[in-house]
Amino acid sequence: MSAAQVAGAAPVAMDHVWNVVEAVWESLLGCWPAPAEPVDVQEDWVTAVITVDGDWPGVVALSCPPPTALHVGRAMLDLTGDEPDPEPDDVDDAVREVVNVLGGNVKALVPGGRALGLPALLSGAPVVDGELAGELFIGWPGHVARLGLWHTGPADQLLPIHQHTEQK
Amino acid sequence: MRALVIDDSKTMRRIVSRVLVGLGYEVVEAADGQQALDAMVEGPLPDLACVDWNMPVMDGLTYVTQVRANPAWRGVTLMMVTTESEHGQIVRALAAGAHEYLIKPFTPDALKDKLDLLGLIPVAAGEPS
Repeated sequence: MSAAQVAGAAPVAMDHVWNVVEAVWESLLGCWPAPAEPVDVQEDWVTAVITVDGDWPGVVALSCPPPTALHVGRAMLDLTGDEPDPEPDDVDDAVREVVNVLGGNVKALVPGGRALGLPALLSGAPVVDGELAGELFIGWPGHVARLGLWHTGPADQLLPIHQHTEQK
Repeated sequence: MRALVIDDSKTMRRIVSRVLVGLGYEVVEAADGQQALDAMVEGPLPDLACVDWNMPVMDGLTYVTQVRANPAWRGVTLMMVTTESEHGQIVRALAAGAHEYLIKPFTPDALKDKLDLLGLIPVAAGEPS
């Protein structure tokens, strides 16, 4: 897996987040993702962000090129090849919903996750006032996306890797 | 049978509605709990409401509580369809009056299984072909 994890920053192994990605891609997009090589988020990329509040406050952000966002919209709306593209608002809604589902499942993985925000959309790389805890590069035929997880609480509240699973 | 699909994501409403329509449901959609309550006041009442948790204006838990507070709506089956997957959240929803709980992401078969458990697969859809 092409997962970058900052030592000591993420309270959960990014492998577990990857498992969430696989479930989301399979059920919402109808495909199975594979690890991709790291890529830089470009200015024209679509980014959906959602906040996780609790003992480990953070931000989950999904970034992808516009054609991939359109693909996500078409896949989630189950549009076949000869059907017209969805409206831009519907594409935005689809990408927001993907990060909403990802964020909700990440909230269940981090310790003390209490509340999920509402998803929002922006252009380009997310600017987060926090520390990047881990990232995943997700590939599937013709497409790539980057998933980032930031810790937005005070640095002295950083929790060790795997703490969540060790508590079980 | 009638269903009310309540989610602030139009995409997710369509995903849920697609499954329900395929089973023979007549579906009405609402973007938040308040819209759903308004639709129920106007009628006709749904047999089933699929409810997201995190929504603007009125969240799903508040909606469930309000529906359960009205004796005239006792016959409406409530199913949470949400990313909230922690045990404590599930307990809260069930205690508030939800009958079932489906965690996103889900497959169409998972939704059908929940409906089957609730006895809410329309007869025509459940008949062997």
